[in-house]
Amino acid sequence: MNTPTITPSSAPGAHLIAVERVAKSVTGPQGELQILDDINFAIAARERLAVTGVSGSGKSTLLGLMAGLDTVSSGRITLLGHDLATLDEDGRAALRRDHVGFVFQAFHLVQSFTALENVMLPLELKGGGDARRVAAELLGRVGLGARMDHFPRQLSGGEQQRVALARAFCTSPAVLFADEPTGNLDARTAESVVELLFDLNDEFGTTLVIVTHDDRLAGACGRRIALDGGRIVGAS
Amino acid sequence: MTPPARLPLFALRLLRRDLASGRLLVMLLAAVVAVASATSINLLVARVERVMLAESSALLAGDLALTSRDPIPAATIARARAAGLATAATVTLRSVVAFGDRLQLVRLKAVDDAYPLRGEPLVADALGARPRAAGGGPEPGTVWGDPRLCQLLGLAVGDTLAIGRSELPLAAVLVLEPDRGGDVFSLAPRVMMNLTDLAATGLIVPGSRASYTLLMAGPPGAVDTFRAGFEPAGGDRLLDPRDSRPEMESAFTQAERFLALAAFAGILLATIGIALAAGAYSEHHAHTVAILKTLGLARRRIAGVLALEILLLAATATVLGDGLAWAVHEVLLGHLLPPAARLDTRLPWLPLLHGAWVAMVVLGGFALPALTALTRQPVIAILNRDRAGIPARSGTRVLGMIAAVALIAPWHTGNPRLIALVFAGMMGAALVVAGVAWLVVRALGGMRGRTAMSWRFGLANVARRARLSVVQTTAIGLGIAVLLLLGLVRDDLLGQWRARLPPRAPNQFLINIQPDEVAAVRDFLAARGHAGVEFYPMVRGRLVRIGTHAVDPDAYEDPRARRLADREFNLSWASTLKPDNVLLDGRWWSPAATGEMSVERGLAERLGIALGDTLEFSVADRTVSGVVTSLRGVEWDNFEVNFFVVTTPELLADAPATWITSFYLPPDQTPLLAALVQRFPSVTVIDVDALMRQVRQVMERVAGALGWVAAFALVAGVLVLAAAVQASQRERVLDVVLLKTLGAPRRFITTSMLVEFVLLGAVAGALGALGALATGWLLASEVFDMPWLPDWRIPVLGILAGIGGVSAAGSVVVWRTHRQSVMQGLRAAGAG
Repeated sequence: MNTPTITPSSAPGAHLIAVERVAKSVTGPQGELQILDDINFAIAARERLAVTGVSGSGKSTLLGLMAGLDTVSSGRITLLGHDLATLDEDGRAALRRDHVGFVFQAFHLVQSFTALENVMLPLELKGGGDARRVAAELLGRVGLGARMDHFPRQLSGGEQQRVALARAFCTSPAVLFADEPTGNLDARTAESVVELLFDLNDEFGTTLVIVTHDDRLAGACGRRIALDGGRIVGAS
Repeated sequence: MTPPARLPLFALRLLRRDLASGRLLVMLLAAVVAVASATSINLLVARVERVMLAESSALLAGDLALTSRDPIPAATIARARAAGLATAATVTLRSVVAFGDRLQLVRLKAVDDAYPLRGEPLVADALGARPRAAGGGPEPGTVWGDPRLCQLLGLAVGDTLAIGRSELPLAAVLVLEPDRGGDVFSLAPRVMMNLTDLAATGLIVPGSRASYTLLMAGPPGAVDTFRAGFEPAGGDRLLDPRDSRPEMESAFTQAERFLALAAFAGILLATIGIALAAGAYSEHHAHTVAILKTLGLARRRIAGVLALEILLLAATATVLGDGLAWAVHEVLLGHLLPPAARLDTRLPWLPLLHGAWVAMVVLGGFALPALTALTRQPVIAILNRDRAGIPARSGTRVLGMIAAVALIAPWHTGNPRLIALVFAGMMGAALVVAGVAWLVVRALGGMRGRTAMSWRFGLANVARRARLSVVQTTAIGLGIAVLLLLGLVRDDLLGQWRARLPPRAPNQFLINIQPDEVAAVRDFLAARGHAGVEFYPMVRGRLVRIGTHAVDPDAYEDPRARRLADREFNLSWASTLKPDNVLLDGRWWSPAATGEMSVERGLAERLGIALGDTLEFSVADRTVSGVVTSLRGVEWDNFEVNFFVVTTPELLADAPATWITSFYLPPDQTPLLAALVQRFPSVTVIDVDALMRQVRQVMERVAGALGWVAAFALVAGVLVLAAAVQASQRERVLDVVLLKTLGAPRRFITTSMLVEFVLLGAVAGALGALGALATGWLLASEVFDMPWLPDWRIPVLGILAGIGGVSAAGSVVVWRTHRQSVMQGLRAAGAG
């Protein structure tokens, strides 16, 4: 892998993520649409932050911007001390590869890979270490030791999300972004997935940013930002 | 429940929304391309056929010719004119002409002022001078004589020739007579005069053996009407251009085969594209069907809505496809066709209507079975299709597709056997390709554990989308097979056909060489750079008996068979088989054999001669008989000296024979002919250069047309690739986006995708090449009657084309994904 390794450049104790005067707009057939406007906040290491808001409030867009999946229209986002605007796409990819984990509402597992191969994927992208062993251990840790060779289509929604959690934590990321992680699950399964997410979060000492509708999940996070119409309307 | 009256509106809205969303665009484009390809090719074939027919008409001097032993009745002429046909009259008879005290038997043709209706005679102002086109026949009071007559009588332009009671001046040397037909090698020299002078010669008296011809020409519809409604009287013959000359008949038939094949290749490619797009189309409609069912719309109604949408789509595709085809065709015409054809501006309704038929059938046959199958699925099965999967009902779909292809195949292009063979060859190839692709996909899936990450990703993709991978490989493989086949036909079969008439093919024939002159003529030619020229004995004979049956020309229904049975053959003897002949049945005789004969296959088939038959020929004043022990294949269009019947040497050893040879004479060496005639006055020189030019012209025109048709097919092939990659685009985009989210660099993503594309392309290319080679062999041996010389570079070309094509098309998807942000990608893939 020729992509350079991006190391966190922030000093100990500094904010892990800083969002400064961020705005995002897109141009569609109906003209320009402002999705986010004047967003400011910061997240410290090991903090748990829930971003809440109604559909269309801009929370998933904000998560994407923080993870370097998209670029801001104006303002600045600093992730692990790196101004994302100064990194090119491969640079942002390397930052995610080495320090960021993801969990999505729709799981987003590679359908052609087994559960084990899905968890191995970030480890192999990062390189070094025994990917197979680490992935197998993590799958055992999320209760899927017996289903490692199953393909995503052979797993239930809850099981797929557990695989996604194992994949997210396997590289011991500094920060984990979760976009509606329980949105596709029934209440009981959602509860067990959230429990597992928090356990792993504690275990790996990861900073957690969760986008959710779920008040209970948001309440379980230490801090909450509420969005409406692309603006922060509340913080606690 | 939705009232039935609202369903058309609902279907229209569905179509509009589907088109606006862009999801139906691929399907529509594929249908437009199918229609445009089929229509353009049909327009081209129709127009080129018309042009070639016109050229062949020039060889008959009309679109139709009625020949009779009696004067053509005025009623027949009136009937032709009433049908909208122009007419011209010729009278041909054998006669003796005199120049001074020298007499010569000639074939005399008297032509009226309307002659010729098609084509033009070529005349020269002196023997050996540059020929020029003459607008019509000789002016009244003058005659034209061919070079042989001038040689034999020492005649020059301006000399006076005595014909019967008339004395007429020679106004020009007749170099080429368009309607000379198969009589190039007839021994009698030719004289042409004006019909108004014929009566004065006194040659036409009761009982004269003259042949009366009514030439007719006009619009295709008028010709067809006259031909359909006219029954020639007993002994009369109605000839169309295809009967005019054996070399041209062969050229015409081959040309038609090549174009029919090209037409089918284009249609096949277009339908492969439709098949792929139809898969994505039905997949896209799955949710709509589920929602309609959930909302309580009856299955039958849903099927009706979908059928109506298909119909509306077909109508849109027809208008766009036909319009595109017409526009492209008009542009093409400027380059491809001669000015005469461009003047024909009638709208060819048949190809345009055929376009509508193609749109209906491909969309109906390829998309409807999949859509109606959706209506039979339980709603929950469709909504949960990611996990449960929709039963494929592949059997019905495949049958629907095969039926659709069979329905739109160009059977009308005049060679159903060719189409059937290509159809069977491609269906067989599809089965083999699908089977092998399935095995390869499974094998590749098993390999992924032992490879690097990017390779594993590519291999896993091939294996995961096993069904789609097999479909894609089969479609691309078939596409490559069709394109390679077209290339093979163009470069190889067409090349072989053209190679039969190489630039240095013999263009001069020397006949009437006396046995004691053979050595001297050989030395004469060798001394002037024409060493190694072969000489063949030639004996004139009439076939009088086949087995126990006396030969009766009138007993044959086929006009060509009747003519063959009615004429004298050039027989020859030989100890060995000529190198350019092919032994098709039986065996060639041993040096000591006697009483054996070898017959050309076409003659044997036409006259009903079989191996073991005893043939009896009347040669001069005696009878020669022998047993047919072999049938030979002869390439008549290569202008080599060849014979219908060859015998063992002893059979004709005592018969009065002359010798014949042929050689190539470059244009700058024509003085050699004058020296030859001077040295050997009895030897007759026949210059076939002009005739060869005409055959070459047909070949070049076919090559040009095939080039354009191949370009169409190539465009269709590119669309097949696009449709194939498009079929898995959504999943591919999602994969790329996911990899990017997880931090995979571009290079990793590109490598893993390339692995998939290269593998798919290589397998498809290799299998397609084998399919093309197999079908090429089938065509060469069964249709084109040519030896099959496989070009083993084809598999390499196929693999490279497969890899290049799939990678290029796939890279577009990857490139597009790279251009957008990850968030945009997630949303575009419907997952964000």
